[in-house]
Amino acid sequence: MTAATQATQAILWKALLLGGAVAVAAGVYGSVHDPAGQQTISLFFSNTLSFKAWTTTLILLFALFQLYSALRMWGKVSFPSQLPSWFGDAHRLSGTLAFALSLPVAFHCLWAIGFEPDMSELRRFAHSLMGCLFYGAFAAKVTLVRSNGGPSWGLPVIGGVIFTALVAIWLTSSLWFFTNFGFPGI
Amino acid sequence: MFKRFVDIFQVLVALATVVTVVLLVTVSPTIAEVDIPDLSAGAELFASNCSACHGPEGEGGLGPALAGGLENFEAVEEVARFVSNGMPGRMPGFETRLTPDQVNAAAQFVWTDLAGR
Repeated sequence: MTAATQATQAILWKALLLGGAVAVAAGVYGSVHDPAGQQTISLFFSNTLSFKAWTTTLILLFALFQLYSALRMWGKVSFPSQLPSWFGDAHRLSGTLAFALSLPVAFHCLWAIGFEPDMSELRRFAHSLMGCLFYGAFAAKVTLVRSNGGPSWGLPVIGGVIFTALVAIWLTSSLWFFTNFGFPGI
Repeated sequence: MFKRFVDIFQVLVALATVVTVVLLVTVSPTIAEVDIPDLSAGAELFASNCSACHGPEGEGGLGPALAGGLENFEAVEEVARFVSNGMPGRMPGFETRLTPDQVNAAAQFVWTDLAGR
């Protein structure tokens, strides 16, 4: 094994370990913290649940742009044919916006509701699990990006995990909300 | 210029992340002094509008049990909204049958008395 390969693997392990630690920390906090059971932020929505459903939908839209812009930068799609100079920064901005918007949502999930460990409550259990996976994978991705030297497949794979987790989160929260409480439910 | 803006924004979001984590471990739930609500009106409304499907004691029947339940709701306001809107194909909405005060009273009874929340 060459020194370069060892360095690449070390960066990957660092990212995965940090991501795992973040995911586990979120799950442990959600399990041991006594859920407050209170509304938190709702902005101009009628309640926090409605705020969360719409904010998560907005996050998903940013994530879709993230996915497409990443595919374009990696040459998997060809539109736009000429990459504008700001394209990479727009990709970064959309990811940062998505993450920033997720913070008040995650705060309410963790602080007011907590982690659902009962697998018979499948929606809540899957939502809890995917929430932890999302933040763990996000931490791993940021670590890989900042480390500048991980394996070439690292970013696409971890980006895919983040996107998949986010879609699962949306399905088990926003879609559930719109289905059970009506659309737009603001 | 745009790159600089994104750089600064990322730093701010990193700070917001730290603040969120700090809030998670430091903020305690607000314990408000709550008047015990008069649930008699809600109980009557429940008996005349809801018990046929949910059972006289909220034990369930045609509709799901409410006693000791409502895990999918986080606040009484959500129950009231659900009572108003109903669920297409499964439960009628009561928006046109009850006044908002009546809906709130019924929801409060279900939330407090039946579900024990």
